[in-house]
Amino acid sequence: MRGAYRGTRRRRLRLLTTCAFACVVSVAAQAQPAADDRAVLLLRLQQLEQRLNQIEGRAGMPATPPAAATGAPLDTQAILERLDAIDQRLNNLETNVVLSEPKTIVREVERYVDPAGAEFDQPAPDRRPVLTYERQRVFRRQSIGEEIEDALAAEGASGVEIGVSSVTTVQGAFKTAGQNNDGDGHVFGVTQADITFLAQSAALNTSFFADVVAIGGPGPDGEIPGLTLLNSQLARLSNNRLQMREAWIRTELFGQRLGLTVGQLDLTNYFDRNAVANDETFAFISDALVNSQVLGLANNGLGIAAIWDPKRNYNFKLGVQQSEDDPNNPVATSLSNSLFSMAEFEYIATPFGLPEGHYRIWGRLDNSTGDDRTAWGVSIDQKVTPTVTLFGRYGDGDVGEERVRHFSAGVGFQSPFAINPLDAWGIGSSQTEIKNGPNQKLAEAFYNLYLTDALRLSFMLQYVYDNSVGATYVLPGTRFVVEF
Amino acid sequence: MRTSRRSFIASFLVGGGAVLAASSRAQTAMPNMPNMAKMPNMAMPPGQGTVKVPDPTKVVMIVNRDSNELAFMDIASRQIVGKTFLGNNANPHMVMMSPDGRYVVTGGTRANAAYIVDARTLELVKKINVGIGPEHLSFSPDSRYYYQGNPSDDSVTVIDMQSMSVIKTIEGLAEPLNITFIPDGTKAYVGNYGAHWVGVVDVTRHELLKKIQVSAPPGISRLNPTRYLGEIKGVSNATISADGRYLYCADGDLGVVGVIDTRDDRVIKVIRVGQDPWRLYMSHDGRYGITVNNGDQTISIIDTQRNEVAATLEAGPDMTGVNFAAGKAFVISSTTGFLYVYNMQTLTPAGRVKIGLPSQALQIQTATTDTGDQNLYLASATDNSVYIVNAATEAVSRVANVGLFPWGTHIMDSKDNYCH
Repeated sequence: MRGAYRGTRRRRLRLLTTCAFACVVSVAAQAQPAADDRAVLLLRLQQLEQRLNQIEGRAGMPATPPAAATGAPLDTQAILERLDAIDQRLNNLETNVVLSEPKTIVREVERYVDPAGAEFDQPAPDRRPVLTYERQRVFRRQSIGEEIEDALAAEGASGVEIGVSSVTTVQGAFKTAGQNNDGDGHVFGVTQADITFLAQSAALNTSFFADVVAIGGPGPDGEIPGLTLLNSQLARLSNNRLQMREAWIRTELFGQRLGLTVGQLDLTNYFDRNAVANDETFAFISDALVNSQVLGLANNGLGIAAIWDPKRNYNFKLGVQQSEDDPNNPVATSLSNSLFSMAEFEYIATPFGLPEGHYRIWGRLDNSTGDDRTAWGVSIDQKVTPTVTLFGRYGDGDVGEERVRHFSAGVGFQSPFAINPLDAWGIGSSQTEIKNGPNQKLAEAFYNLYLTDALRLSFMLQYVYDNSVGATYVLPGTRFVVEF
Repeated sequence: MRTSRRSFIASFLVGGGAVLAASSRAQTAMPNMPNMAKMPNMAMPPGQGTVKVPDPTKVVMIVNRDSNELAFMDIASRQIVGKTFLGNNANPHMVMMSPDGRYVVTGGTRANAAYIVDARTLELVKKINVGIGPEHLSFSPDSRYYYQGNPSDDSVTVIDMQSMSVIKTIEGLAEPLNITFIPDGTKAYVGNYGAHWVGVVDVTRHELLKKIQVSAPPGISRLNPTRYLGEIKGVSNATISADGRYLYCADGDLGVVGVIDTRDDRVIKVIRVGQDPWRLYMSHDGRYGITVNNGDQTISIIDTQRNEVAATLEAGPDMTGVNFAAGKAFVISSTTGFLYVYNMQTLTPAGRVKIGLPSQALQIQTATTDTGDQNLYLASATDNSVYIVNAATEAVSRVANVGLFPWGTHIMDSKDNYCH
């Protein structure tokens, strides 16, 4: 029985072995063409991946080698996954990538040089730091939109920025009391156009600015010649001619703490600035509510302004400027004549839990009359709430041959006490007194409608009593500002 | 019986072949494992390499856009202890560590992918395809979900950190820039820079529940198409109050901060600030928030108890962030290379700190503050450095060559982790 069983088992084993061998041969014979096809497919995949690597800027990255070369099995799932990956990469390229070349950027870098002259990336006790420049190859892929933005920004940074603005003011005058009828019922209009040029060098912290202005039209001050101008647009400018309002170069020194400005200046842009009452194009138009009348500057002129601003809660300013009464008929024969010298200290505080306030004290020396004439003043603006600001000024000093005292006060409002979010309005009054002479009392209210970033419309109402004129007037007015 | 035996042998042969094939495939795949960037959605088991960062709270993470890597700097020694390369053209934007300290993640803006890095070994664990242009991101407080914002895709990709896979894409957003989770992790708020609303996301279902309008454009906006129909500057971020109850959402075009009560998701107050506020940064004690107003180069300090502007102070151009330390606020003016300093007791300016040499025009980016509120770690893109600023003395020291174009920094548990 055991021998018969052994014989049967041998036969079965032989049969099974034969079957298995036949199966393997058969499968191998059928698999050969498929394996060839897949190898071709994989080779094609590899070429596609290499091409994508080049386009994406990873030229050095190897593509997955063909499976046939590595002896790996021909896995359909793996091929499908690689196709998916290629598809995804292609989608990315199509959707948001256009410029795929690696960028080369020259950068300022700090290197460390040892006594032998060898350069290192890291500091060490015997190495000295050296600033140098180095080209770096980066892989910041950018879209066309980003490239255009960069190009425009670079062009803007290296170019000259030109600004254009126009301010047109119409005022009417109505006498309310007094004997003088000049100007009563008359309408006045002033238009000014400014072209400004600004060029900057960020690396040198230097900028150049020029403002060419043409101003024309009769303001109310021709017929109502009070102690102060009723339209401050005409302050320090001559009517009906093209002129250079300002042209200066500004640079910053000592860690950008000291700003120096030299050229044709308007020192009122640097001194006695006030958060509410300092801009005749957007806020009060009466000159008595734009600057202290004791500053005494007649016209813009050659000068220098130095501002020490450590960006703490204080700063200090010094300025010297030549200011002729009549620039068309100058009397100064050198830079030593008609000089206004000014100094100001400004302090920023948040007193009694209130929001910020600016407190300034200034002094002025004027030699335009041959003698040194002095003046001093204070200028304050203090927020009482985030949108309500009180302001006040006081000044006392010699203006020309006269001793003048001037004070003003008022309040400015913003949204939510306004129609639109960026509107502003305010009311203020001032008094200007000449010692042993006439005086002027003035009040003004304005509302500035912020239509767009480029367009603003203001409504003003002025009341003025000036005993040098001999009458009181009410002057309603509008002002339209276009600025680009 | 014979048939079944043949079947057994045939299946043995086929099965053996399959095992051999699988074994062979595994061997060919192994050499590719370090190059995870080439293999989307492939996971590598974490923790297999050498531990380079034993304590994740002791490193500063630096995201280097141009060298496409994350660098890790030891806070004590100020040495780079490791870097993780993500793949060419990844352009990582923001880096963040998961609250449990296990993973570091970043979104590769140009690769449209999220990268997950083991926080201890610094190995790239996984690259996951997300939406287009991923930038800012956030983690749920329990570290379970990683929300990746895709501003160019108007979507947020939700990644489950357990399975390390995308479980949902939240669509219907408008340039989602930042995501803020409330402390209990039930809701997330998405700032939409391409709109004037904040999206409320139910974190249980990862669905957009509600859109909260921060403020309505004024009626006069129709007169001003260049301002309101040009490049929209909406809500960049919803900043959470210290108690986790309120959100402060600055809107650039409208120049306001809307205060949202997270209990009922409604705006309780609109605070007018300066022009073009980028976002609000909360002081560490939660008493004040600061908006940087790039439109008029000011900052507005908001008293969070009264929800009013306590002070508006002069600052610099191109402000990209605010850090708080030593009783001061440090405002980053990117293009000038200055940190503007403010005294947070008196709410007044307190000087400014120049980064780099006076002659250098560095472009500084964003900073993080250490948990002891002592030092700021400021990324400086143009000179490939991180500047360390001592908040008390304002002394500045430089760590050079951290990588190319460092864009931001991050410290685990810092209160000043943000991006721009």
